[in-house]
Amino acid sequence: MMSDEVLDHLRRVVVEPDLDGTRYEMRGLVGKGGMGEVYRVWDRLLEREAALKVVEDAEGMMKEARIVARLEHPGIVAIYDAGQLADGRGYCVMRLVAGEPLDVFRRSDQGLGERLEVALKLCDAISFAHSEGVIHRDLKPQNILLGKFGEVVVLDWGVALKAGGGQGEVAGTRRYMAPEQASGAPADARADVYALGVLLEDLLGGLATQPLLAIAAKAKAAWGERYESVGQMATDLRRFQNHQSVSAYRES
Amino acid sequence: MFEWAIAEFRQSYAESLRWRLFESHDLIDAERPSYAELAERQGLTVATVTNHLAWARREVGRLARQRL
Repeated sequence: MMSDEVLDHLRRVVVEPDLDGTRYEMRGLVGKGGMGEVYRVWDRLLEREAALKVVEDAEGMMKEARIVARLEHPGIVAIYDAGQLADGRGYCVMRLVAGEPLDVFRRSDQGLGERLEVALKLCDAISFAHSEGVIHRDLKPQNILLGKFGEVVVLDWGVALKAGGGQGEVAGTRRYMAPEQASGAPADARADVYALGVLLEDLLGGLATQPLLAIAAKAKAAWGERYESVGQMATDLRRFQNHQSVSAYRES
Repeated sequence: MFEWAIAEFRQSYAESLRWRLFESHDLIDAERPSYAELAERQGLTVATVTNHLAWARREVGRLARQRL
């Protein structure tokens, strides 16, 4: 029969990551995903809380960390540190974003204007990543947080890809996945445009008007019919916001 | 859950260094030695100790999840 102390220790080292040798102290689980777990930790050196993500694949974690570290943008989660835990797993430490997931926001009573602002901020962040040659490939409400200062922050770049890589690799979440991505064809920036189209529909819900539905439809169209870039989609959204005609919709 | 997973692990690896390290560190019901102390005691490097412990913990975790 094991003592409570031994059981507590096993829970900590077998279930939770072993943070011995790091400057972080465990504060609890934030969430679990297909790619790993995220914990709330205390950074003893800087005396602040942070989010620590742990995955089995230490090499993959470093790849993700390096990709995200390049993306310095208010709409992309800031990365502070990365490495390998004593238990062999990989970790990266990120800003702990205080806010609500997009899923909660879209079910709120926010009006069309606020929802469009969120969609545009999201487009800005993804457009920036694309300009740096990085495709997210797994945009979905759970990976997007709305911070307390009104910022929209894109998380979880675990299946992100440098443009031109990852041939034949199927990664992402079906509902938000472009058909070419689901079929294993190489994903380019238009795969994220597709996901943004689905997210736009999610965000607008019953508030969507014909031009907005047309924008979402063009973002979700077949590869050749789709917006070529997130910037083009954002332009249409801004034109709608300014009561101008949009390229995706012609009134008859 | 843990007791079953540990019994399974022990059955398969009772003679191994991994089990010895796991038993001496994670199952000890007294003051737990540091990785460095354990390494010195066993005549190993700290990296060898942490690598074997990591493997043992992952295996126990896998067995425990299997049980769930």
